[in-house]
Amino acid sequence: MADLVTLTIDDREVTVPKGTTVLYAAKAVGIEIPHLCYCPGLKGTGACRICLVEIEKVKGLVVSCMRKVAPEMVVRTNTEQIREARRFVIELLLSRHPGLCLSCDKNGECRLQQYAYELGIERPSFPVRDPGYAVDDGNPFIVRDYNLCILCGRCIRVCRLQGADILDFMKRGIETRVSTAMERPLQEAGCDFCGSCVGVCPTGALIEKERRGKGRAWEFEKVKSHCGYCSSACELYFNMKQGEIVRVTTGAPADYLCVRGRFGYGYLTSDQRLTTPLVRKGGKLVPASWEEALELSASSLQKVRERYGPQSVGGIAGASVTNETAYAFQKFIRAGLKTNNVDSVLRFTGLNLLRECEVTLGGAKGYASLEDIAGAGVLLVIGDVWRRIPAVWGRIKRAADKGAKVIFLGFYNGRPARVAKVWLRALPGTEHLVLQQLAQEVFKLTGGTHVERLQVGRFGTFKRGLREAAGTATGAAAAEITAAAELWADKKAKGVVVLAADGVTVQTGRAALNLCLLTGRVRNALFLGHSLVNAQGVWRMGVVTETFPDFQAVPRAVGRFSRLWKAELSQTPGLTADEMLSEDSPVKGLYILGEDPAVSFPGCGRIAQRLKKLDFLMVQDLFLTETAQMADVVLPLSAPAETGGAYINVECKVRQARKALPGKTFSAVQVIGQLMSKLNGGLGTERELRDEILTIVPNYGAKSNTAPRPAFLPVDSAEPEAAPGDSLCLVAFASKFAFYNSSWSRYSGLQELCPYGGDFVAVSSTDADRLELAEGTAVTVTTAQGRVSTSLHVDPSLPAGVATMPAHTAKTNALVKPQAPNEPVQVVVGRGS
Amino acid sequence: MQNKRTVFVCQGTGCLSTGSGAVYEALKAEVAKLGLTDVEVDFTGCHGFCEQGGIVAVEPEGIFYTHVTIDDVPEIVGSHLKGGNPVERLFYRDPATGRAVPRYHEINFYKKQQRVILRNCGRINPEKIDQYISKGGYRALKKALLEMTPEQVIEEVKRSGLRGRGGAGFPTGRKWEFSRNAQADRKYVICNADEGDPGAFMDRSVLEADPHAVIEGLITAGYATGANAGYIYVRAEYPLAVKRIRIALEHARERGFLGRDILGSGFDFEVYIKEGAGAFVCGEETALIASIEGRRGMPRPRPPYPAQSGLQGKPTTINNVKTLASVPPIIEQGADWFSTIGTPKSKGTTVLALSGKILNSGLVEVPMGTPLSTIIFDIGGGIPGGKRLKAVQTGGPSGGCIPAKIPDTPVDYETLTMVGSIMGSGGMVVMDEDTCMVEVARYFLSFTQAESCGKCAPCRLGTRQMLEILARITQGKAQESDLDTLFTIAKTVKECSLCGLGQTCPNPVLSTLRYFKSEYEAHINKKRCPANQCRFLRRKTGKKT
Repeated sequence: MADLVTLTIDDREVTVPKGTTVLYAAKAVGIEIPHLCYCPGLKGTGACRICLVEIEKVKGLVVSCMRKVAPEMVVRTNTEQIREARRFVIELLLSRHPGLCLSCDKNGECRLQQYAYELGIERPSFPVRDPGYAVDDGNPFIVRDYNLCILCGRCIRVCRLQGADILDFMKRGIETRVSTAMERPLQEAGCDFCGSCVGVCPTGALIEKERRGKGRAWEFEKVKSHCGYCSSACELYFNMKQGEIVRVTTGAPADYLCVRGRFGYGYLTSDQRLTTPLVRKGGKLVPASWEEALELSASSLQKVRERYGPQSVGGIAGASVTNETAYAFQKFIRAGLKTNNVDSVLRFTGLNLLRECEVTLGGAKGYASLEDIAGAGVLLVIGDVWRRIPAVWGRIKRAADKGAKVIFLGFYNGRPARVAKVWLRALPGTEHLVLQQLAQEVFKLTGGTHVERLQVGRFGTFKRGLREAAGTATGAAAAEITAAAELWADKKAKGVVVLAADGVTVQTGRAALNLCLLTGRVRNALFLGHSLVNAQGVWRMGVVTETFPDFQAVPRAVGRFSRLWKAELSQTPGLTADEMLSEDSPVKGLYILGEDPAVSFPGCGRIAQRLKKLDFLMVQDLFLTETAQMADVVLPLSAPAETGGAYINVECKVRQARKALPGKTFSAVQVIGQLMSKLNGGLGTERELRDEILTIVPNYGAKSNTAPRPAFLPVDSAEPEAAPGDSLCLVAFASKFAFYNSSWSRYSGLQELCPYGGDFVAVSSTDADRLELAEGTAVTVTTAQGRVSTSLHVDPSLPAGVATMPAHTAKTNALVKPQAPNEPVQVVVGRGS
Repeated sequence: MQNKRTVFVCQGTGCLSTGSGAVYEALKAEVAKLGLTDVEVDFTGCHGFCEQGGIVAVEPEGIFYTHVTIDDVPEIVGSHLKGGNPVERLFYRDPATGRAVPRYHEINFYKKQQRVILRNCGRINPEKIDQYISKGGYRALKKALLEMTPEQVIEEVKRSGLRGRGGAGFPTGRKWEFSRNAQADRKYVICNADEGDPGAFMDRSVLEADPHAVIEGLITAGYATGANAGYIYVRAEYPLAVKRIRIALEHARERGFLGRDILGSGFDFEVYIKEGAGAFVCGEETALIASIEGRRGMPRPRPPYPAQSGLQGKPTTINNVKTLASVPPIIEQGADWFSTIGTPKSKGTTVLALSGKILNSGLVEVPMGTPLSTIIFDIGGGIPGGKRLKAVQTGGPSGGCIPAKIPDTPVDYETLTMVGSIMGSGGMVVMDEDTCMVEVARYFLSFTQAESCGKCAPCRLGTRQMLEILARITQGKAQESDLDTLFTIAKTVKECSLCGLGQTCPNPVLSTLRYFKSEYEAHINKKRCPANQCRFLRRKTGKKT
């Protein structure tokens, strides 16, 4: 075959694909060539000179990590000369490595140590000098001791590849070292704290702060699990020692985890975790036995139902729970409490868009994956998706490095704007109009050929919408839109739209999907991210009022589920989460699972007031959240990593989590089962439950049986209302560090990384000057919804006229529109508190 | 009526530092004051004889004034330009005979040179394109673009035997051919003007004195290789060179030598200047490319060579200033002419920056293969103070020391490599008997050690270890075994380093160990510096100093 190359390495014949490096070709026949600067997953750089080999007819020693194989090459990897060269280099490195292996945390996994051992270096040949650099541990997660650094540059390369790109070598000669610009601390230098640098460091120079003094690699048990934060559900390994998480690592050293995945496990181990049920007695929550708490819960809910009818009770769940928990929860509400008042956080985080995309794309197989992003030729990145699902950033960067053309639609001058070929800087609230205008330009270039071939419906309506959107001022220049259209219209390029379902308005999401359809990109062209790990799963498990598991509609499927569950079910359509929590809702008894509506739902202030009026509130969560503090009964919740279970991640793939951590309490399924049995039945064993789910929802709904039904979605192209005078428009903008569940961020130390602990309103330098407000000033922020006090943060990456506040926080949620939290609102920022 | 005369005041960096800027202004004022309409005052770039600056030449007579200051201006104008009596006290004085030499071409320093690369240096105003054109400038470009195919241009350069003047001596025509044959939508040519060797200033002088020669060569290289964009990577510490390149580019553009459809040939070419920040390693081609791309200038292993994957991953040809300046004469006068100059393997001329213990320091251009002795004694005027020649260091800090016992060593790529040195960029430091060879090695190594980019361990750390040993030797604190260690490290650094810097920086150590080992041994065993230079080992002479 033309694409294979045969060569000889240490007298053994090897056949490998063309383009393979000598190092990898050797590995293929079990010859390990030592290497320090080379790291799988990163480009070679040829710096450390450890992987030197001899190649016949080539002058001098050659670095095997970069040299590509050639036919009839004859390679030697372990001659006396090579060993001498390697030994020399290691000895030189040791001359500037003053560390004491005896007390080094990296002992046992340090590559320098390993090669010194393999080469039999017993004593240093050169005097060992201590560079005397100050150790930097001024941040919560990473300790940098450059005295132990061998300058392999792995951290620099990985930071460039998938991080914030803030590291490089500085100075020359013996003084060369790794640094941020102007030697600023990581936090000030713009570090993401993804910890990729720690993951690839071959020595003790970079380590996790938390692991210091907690043991050596050989003492750790590596337990595979998945990150429980965003919908990417990245694979990770808990490194356990005596039941305690010591650190988190990845499969391969350069695999990506964001700060939440790598360092944000504190919420799992926190001593603030609930482990005992609490019941309200004399106005106070006091510890109670499980039996007492469960009995009280079941009977109270039952009593409310009996007294006020099926619409008076309900349940609301978060989307960080497993499929099993979600299924059990809705079954408890529907079959146990016999009401369809069961809903989830999805109501406020993109449910409509999820639904429309599912139908249009034909189910789970239709979505784009992270690898689709990495392999794309043209990417349309919308909004703050790279903060909601940080894993996309590494993929966008990889794609851009390989030549993909990035179009960024968003107002924020952040990283995607910098890698973008075209930056459409739309004003908040006009994103969908920019997409419509872009579609118009694309249509001019491509015509409707794709549309006709794929028989995409509602083309006429779509075209009318485009005409309506033409000419509306959006902030994006016409020339930029034309340039973007040329990129997107390139039908040979694999195109992917990257957005977060919960981070855009419905209009924007629809317009983006339309843009895919217009160019014939139906399958694997839409990356539909979500801030919460199991948004796809919770929805498929039926934790939305309108549908039973497997999207079976209420009330049409009531008969079927009555038979399946052998229970009488309510025929009455249920209330949605916002209906249940509205002022005039009939709900008087509520079960909230893994969710904190008093903080994380839009309009949270009003919701908190409403919750106080309930006859009975029961909350099951990891922590005593704001909502839990109002409850009559609080039940501890187990984390998915403690129980195992399945998720459907952003790619609509099943992620089967194992029980990775020792349990702190009963599993959620066990608890719900107990509740269920106190009413009128049970859930069976966990195994029976899983079998039941898989019967009703094959493969948890991650298998698509439906064909795509591509049809253009209606987009409201009306001109947005003009902002009065000099008011700003406020956008809830995802934080780089903090997370949807504020208690998770708090107990994991993530909040410490945010300016003002995540309590601020950011404005542009222009507006700060105009309003005569300096960084850190105490301000009040007022919208039609409410008014809060916070600190002012000047963010030069914002355009004039735009203010942002961290998404999902109580203060932000008090200010945004409850029905449309992603829509910008008019805001006044003024001095005072 | 007397022919119009031109007074050329050197405005190279060297002469400017002696105040020749003021001399130029004063001459203009004085000539105007006396109403001498037949005299034009103009300026040139470097004459190469910087030792004698400020230099003023009167053409076409060829009168050559040295050490001119502003105080000499009235006399030059009054006595010579008005009165017709040249000012003898400002003539060059032959150090051997003590005789005053009035004319340029009579001076030994110039007489024995053959100037191809420096052909226009000191003879034209570098800021006036017409003067370059009047010397035959851009004729070669016309010929290449309108009468030759790119392949023919490459063939001509190949036949000429021209090799890279940056140091490594790779055949230029073959380099061009690699890039020509590489398939890509874009290609680049780069002029490497990152002259970093201490004491080397030939590239700067060429750019200051004859920028069009380099630009013409660069456009030709672009045409031959199929590139439409060229970069001149020049140190920011060369502001005058940058200024003159900028002016020259503007003029070339105005005359249609740059831009779209050059001379109606259909060939488009544009040149950009990239100012480097002065890292020695950026003269290495892959580091230079990284620097142009906006990254830290650090080399990467080759292959792939820039001819396959260079700037922005596109095929890129990188040539030294002097290589490019050699191209127009080759195209115009032909490969046959060029290949008559030099040795069978090293064709053409080489420019050397002669410095150290020598009477005539300055820029010298000689045919390849000229013996060292000719350069040092005939052109350089020998060693001052009647001292004996001890060694010649060629090739800058990465070069080696050639001992006086082989004075007839021909200066060409092969021979210099054979004797343990390199051609390098053409630095040539002459050392007399008062020079300590251990100290020389230590000095050059301290430079390369500090300029190591720090990427690869052998260079970053190995040079440091060598330096520590050399310091111990010069302080009389070393042991016999240190010499073996030094030799081993030097050899291994040479073998294992990533780029040319590390691979050649042990040369001063290795060549001094080869030819002057006894000096090292004297430092170690007898605690004595034979040249009596090392501070810690200085012999007491009885007198307190």
